Formats: sequence, C-alpha cells, structure tokens
Amino acid sequence: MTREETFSLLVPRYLRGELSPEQTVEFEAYLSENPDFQADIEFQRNLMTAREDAPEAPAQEFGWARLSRSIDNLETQTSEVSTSEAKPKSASMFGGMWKVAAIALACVSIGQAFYITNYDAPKQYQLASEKEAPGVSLQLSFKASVSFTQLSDLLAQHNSQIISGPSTLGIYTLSFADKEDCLSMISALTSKESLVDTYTSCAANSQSQ
Amino acid sequence: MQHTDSDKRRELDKALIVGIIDGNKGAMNEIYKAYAPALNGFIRLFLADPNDVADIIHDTMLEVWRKAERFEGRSSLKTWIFSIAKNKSIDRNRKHARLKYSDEVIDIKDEALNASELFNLSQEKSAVRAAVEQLKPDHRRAIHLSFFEDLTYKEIAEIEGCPEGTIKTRILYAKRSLQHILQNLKK
Repeated sequence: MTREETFSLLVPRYLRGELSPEQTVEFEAYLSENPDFQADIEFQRNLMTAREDAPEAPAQEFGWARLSRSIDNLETQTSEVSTSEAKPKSASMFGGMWKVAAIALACVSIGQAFYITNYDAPKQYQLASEKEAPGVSLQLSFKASVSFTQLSDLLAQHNSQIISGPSTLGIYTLSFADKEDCLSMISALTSKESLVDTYTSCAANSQSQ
Repeated sequence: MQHTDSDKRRELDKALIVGIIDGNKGAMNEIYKAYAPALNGFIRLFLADPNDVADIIHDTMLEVWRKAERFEGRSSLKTWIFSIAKNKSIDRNRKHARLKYSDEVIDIKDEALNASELFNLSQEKSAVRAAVEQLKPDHRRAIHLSFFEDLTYKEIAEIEGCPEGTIKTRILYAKRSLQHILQNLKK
C-alpha cells in the first residue's frame, strides 16, 4: 500500500476528528504537500454531506405504532406461555397420551376378566380327585414289600383304581364300581400272603351320589 | 472530539438496552427514533421496495426487543442493529429472489483525475448519490456505512462479516470508481 493510500484511508477518521494529535499533525503535513490529496479530502467531505439527499425515512410515527403493537402482541404471548409454564406443552401432550393409555389398559383388563370368567376350557386333563368316583371306596395301607407289579395286577383284577394317596401315613383310597368288586379285593388281600397292614370296610362313596 | 459524543452514545445505548431488558417500551422508542432513519438508508442498499424496507426496519427492531439480553456490548449498538438488518435484508432478497443489482464490476482505468474537476463534480450532491447507486453492492455498502453512517472500518467489517482490511480495500476501490463515474456523468 502506497503512502497516499495509507493517508487516504485515514480521511474518514480525519474528517470525523478521530485522529490522535500526532496523527493529525502528520496527516495535515502530508495534506499541505499534496494539493491533489486536498481535493480528495474535499471530495470525501462532499461525499459525507451527500447523505443529506438520502431518501426520506418512512414516517416514524407509523413505524413506531406498528412496532409498538407487535411488542404488545409479543408480550401477551410471552405472558400466556409463562402462565402455562406450570403445565408445559409437552407435559400436557403426554398427559393426554397417558389418559388414553390408561383407558385402553382398563378396557383390556375388563375384557380379560370377562373372558376368563366365561371361558369354558376344554378338559385336556383331569386330577385324580376330580375323577368321577365309582360307587364304593376302600382305604388301606400296603406293606412296604408290595411291588408295583403286584399292585397293578390287583387293581386290574378287581376293576379298581387309586383315587387318592398315599397320605403321610401311607394310606391309599381305592374306588370300585360296586361293592362286589370291593369285597373281592378284600378277599384277595386277606387270602393271599398279607399284602396290607390295615384296611377299612367297603363304604359307599359320597361322590357317587 | 467526536470520541466523546461516541462514548456518550455508547453509554446511552447501554442504558436503553437495560431498559428494554426490563420491558421498558419507552427505551425501545428511543432506540427506534435514534436508529430507524439510518436503518432506512442502509436497508435501501439491499431492497428497492419501500414496503420491504419498512418491513425489515420493523422486524429488525422487534428482534432488538426480543434479543436485547443477548447484546453483549462488545460492538456498538448501531453495528449490532445493522448486522441484524443486513441478515434480514439478505433473507428477504433470497426469499423473493429479486436481487435488484448485479455484481458487474465497473472497469476502472488507473488514470489520474483532475483534482479541481473532481472537487467540482462532487459538490453536486445528487450527482454523488447517483454515482454511489452505480457502485457494486459491497462497495456501495462500504461507502454508505463509512461516509453516510460514520462507522469505522472495524464496525463495517463486523456488519459485513469480513476482515477490516477487506473494507479498506473496498473503500479505496469504491472511491476510485466514484470518481470515474462522476467524471462520466459530467460528460
């Protein structure tokens, strides 16, 4: 950058009186030596005054009135937002969703309860105690020496089945279709080598009633 | 010294900004009265339609109201306001895709001008303004902000978002262009 360009750049500050005293002295010294530069200064001074011809600004009172209204609207919106801050928009939105979810859950629960209470499940299995008990039952306790095969043969021969047991005392409850089977079972148990420790008499089964 | 006036203005602006942060519309009115006329001239460098200019003044001032607490005072309030206005003006231009000016560079012959003739030419304010209108947009803004708005190169650089050296160069070339344009206008 030439010396002229350097001083030229200082012109606006010189015209605004912003140069330091030292800079001003140096600037004016250069100015006095260069008539063309003086003309440049005047040119720039004229440039500064040309702003006087600048287009008129729109009537300020209208501009301010418009701005004032906008500020009022803005403040109203802001105060509304701050009022609802205790219940943020997002919270209210999720609150609504929670309500919907809760209602849906309640509906599902009621539906399930209704379905379960009215559901007639197919009988795919049956507990021994739930079996239709034959008409006569007998309670007994087998000796420890009785094998599974012996027991199975006895039950098969006398149309009998175990409907409960063994209890903590080792007592089984057998059921029979009729008393005759029950009596033949007792006869078999006692005629052979004793297979039982104790037994009751044949009794009519209450479940068959 | 104008430095004192500048410092006073800066102090006053700070007080007004504090007033705005406190919700004082009177403070906003003071700022509007102080800067709306200058903004008008500045925004006209970007937008031709007076309605657009009025809109941008309004939007800029409303943003000053909304974002006053973000003003840190590192630059002058005028610089901050002009920066907002510039961005809004550019956005408006993009939105409407109606840039009025071209980036056509005026061919400058590096020849010495007659000093007294130049002085005479520049005395006609309307001629000077017409010449400024013919400058490249970035040169026109640099001249406007420097000579019409009394902003420093540093402040102009902040508004334009470029280095201070770029502004110095723009003004140097803009002045040369102006001199040639004025000479041609005379012919």
